[in-house]
Amino acid sequence: MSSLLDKARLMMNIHCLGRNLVTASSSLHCVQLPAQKEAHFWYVLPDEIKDTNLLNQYFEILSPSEKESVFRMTGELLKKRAILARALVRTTLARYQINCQIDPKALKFKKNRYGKPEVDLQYTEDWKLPQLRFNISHTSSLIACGVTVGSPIGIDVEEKQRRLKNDVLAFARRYFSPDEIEMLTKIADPELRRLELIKLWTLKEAYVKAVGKGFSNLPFNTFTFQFGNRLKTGIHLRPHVMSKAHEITVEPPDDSKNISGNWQFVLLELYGSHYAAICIEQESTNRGKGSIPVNLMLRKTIPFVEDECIFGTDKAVVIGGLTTLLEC
Amino acid sequence: MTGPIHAPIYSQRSSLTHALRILRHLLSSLYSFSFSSALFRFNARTFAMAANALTGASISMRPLLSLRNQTPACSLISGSSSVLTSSFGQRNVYFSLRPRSIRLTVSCAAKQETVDKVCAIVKKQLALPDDSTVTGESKFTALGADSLDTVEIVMGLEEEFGISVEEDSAQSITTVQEAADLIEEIIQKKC
Repeated sequence: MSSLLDKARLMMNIHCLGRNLVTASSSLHCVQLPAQKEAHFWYVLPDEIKDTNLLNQYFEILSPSEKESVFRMTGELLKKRAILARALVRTTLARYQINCQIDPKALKFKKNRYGKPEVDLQYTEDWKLPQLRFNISHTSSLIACGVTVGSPIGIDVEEKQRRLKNDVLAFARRYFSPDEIEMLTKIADPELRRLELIKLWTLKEAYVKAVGKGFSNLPFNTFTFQFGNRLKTGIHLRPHVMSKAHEITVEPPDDSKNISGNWQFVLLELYGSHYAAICIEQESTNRGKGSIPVNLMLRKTIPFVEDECIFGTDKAVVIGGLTTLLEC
Repeated sequence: MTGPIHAPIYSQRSSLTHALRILRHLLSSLYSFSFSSALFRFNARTFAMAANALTGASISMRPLLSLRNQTPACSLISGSSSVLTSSFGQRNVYFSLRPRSIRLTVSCAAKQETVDKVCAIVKKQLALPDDSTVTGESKFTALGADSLDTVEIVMGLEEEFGISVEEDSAQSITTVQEAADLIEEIIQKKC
C-alpha cells in the first residue's frame, strides 16, 4: 500500500494549485440538522473501504496539518485510519450545511482551551453556520463521529474483544472509583468482568470527552457510574450488570471543579462486536424531573458513496441508558 | 513489664554517627581515586538519604556511582566545600579542596537505559514486533496507541520503575522520550 502514499502525495501536489470544489460536495447526501436533545452517530467500517481512489479522495479533502499527521503515522493501516477519521468528520459536518454548499475541505477546526477539537465557525461571513458540536472515536475496525447542535458531546468506541495487558481488577483499582471496583469484584466470571470494564471505560471516556476539559481535570476515579436506582442504596446483592432498561447516571453530578450539567448517556452494542458510549448534555431545566430519553439517529456511511440508516436492526442494540432510536 | 523492647536511643544515634564517619571517610578517599569509565554523580539529596537510611552497618552507596555500562548522559554536581569532577582514564588525579562556590548543573535527557525500557513497554502494550522502530521521538499516537493503551502504558511504567504517575503528568506525555524524562524526574524526587 505504499503506492497509496505516493498517490496521495501526488494528489496533494496537484491540488495545491486550486481546490477541487465540485466533486467533493456534490456526492454527499445532505441531511437535516439534529434537533434539540438529539444526537447523530455516524460511523465507518475501515475494512469495507479498499478502493485507493476513494482513499485518495478522502485524503485530498484534508487540511495540510491533517495530512502531516497522516504522514506521521507508522504503517499503512494507521495512515488509512487517520485519513478515514478526518474524512468522516469533514464529510459528516459538511452535510449539515445549508443547501449542502460547503466543501468539506473548507471546514476549519480549532481547539478549546484544553485541546478538544471544535468546528471553527468564525471564518465565514457569507453563510450562517449551525452550532454543530462533534466528537470522534476510533478503533481499528470502526470509526465513529457523533454530532449535535448546541450540546457538548463525547463518544467512545471500543472493540468488545479488546484484551487488557493488565489484570482487569488491577486496572480497575488503578483507574476506577471504589464503588466501581467493588461492583467489578463481585462479578465472578472473568470474561463478563472484562466486558463490564470495557463498558465502564467507554462511558468514562465519553463523559470526559464531552466535558472537554481533559483527563487530568476529571480523573476517572473521581466519578462513579450508576445504573438505575440500585446503586443509590450503596449495597449490591448480586453482580450488577448493565441492561438496557437502566438509566445511566454519573455521580457526583456536580463537583468542585464546576463540572456541572445534566449529562446523559447511551451505551450501544454494534454488530455484536463493539461497544459505543455517547454522552450529551441535556438542558438543566430537566434536572430533577426524571430523565428524558436521548433521541439517537444512527447511520453507517462510506462518504461520497453511500449512507445506510441503522434502525430496527440488530446491528445496533441499546444496552444502557434511556434512548429512543430514530428512523432517518 | 511486657512489651516490645526498643533499642536504646543512644545506640541508634551512635550507629548514625558511625555511619556518617564512614561516609566522610569514603568521600575523602574518593577524592584521590580515579575512575576509569564511570561518571561520578553526586547529589546533595542522595547524601542526606545515605546518612538517614540506616538500619545496620551497611550503607548503600549505589546512588553515588553510576554503573559502568551506562552512557554518561549528564552530571549533577554540587558540593559544600569542594567540587568533584569526573576523570576519564586518568590515574591519581588530585582534586582541589579549595572552597568554591556551589555549582548545581541540572540533569538533562533521561538515561538511554530508561528510554530503552520505555520502548520495550510500549512495544509490548501495542503488540509491535521486536524489530519495529521505536525511539525516543516516537509519538504514542503515531504508533497506534489509543487512550486505553496510553493508560496501560502508564501502568506498565509505574510497575517497572516502582513509581506513581500523577494524572496531569500522565496526560502530558506523548512520546517515549517524554515518558522517560518524567520517570527520571519522579525517581529523582523520590530520592
